[in-house]
Amino acid sequence: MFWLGTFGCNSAAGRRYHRHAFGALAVLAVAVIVSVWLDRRFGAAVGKWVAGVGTPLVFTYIVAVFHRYIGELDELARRVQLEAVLIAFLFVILGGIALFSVWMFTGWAANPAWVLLAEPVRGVGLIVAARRYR
Amino acid sequence: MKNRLRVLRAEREWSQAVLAEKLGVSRQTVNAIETGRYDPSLPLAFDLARLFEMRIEEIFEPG
Repeated sequence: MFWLGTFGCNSAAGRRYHRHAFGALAVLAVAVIVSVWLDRRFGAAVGKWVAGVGTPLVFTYIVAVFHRYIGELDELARRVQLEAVLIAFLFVILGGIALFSVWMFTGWAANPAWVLLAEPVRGVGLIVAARRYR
Repeated sequence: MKNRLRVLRAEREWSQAVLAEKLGVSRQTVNAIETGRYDPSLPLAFDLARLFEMRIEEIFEPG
């Protein structure tokens, strides 16, 4: 959710969204670094807690500010953003079904982190959707 | 849908950015409407009509 595309990215809403999203990521990065240091220095098992709990919390926050950002866009910019989200959603659904079939027949399970590919797919979707209205 | 937006805007010597600001939308949105790549929503069409002091059908016509 870090690509905003050409529609709406230069608005006050876009700048505010980027501030909040990258700020939250920075907080997560600092927390991970500190927790790794604590783990090594004192043998505390806080690293997995920070990664396991902090990451979903930060991304939930980013999703919330992204939702607010979409709501503040004008109608065409919102349409372009939602078309890109739709492309990413379809990618995840179809990818998930395909990987489920692979797992059924071969027993091979993909790393769940593959869903993160949805973000670059959404970025490509933004380019494709924006081109239609330019 | 065809529209006379570019002509009406030129008559008033407004840039796309000025019109966008008056409408509360982005310049890209004004450009997309002018080039016929995007048909505005009814509320935005009413805003345009109000701004140019015309009826919607005087600005837009079925393409």
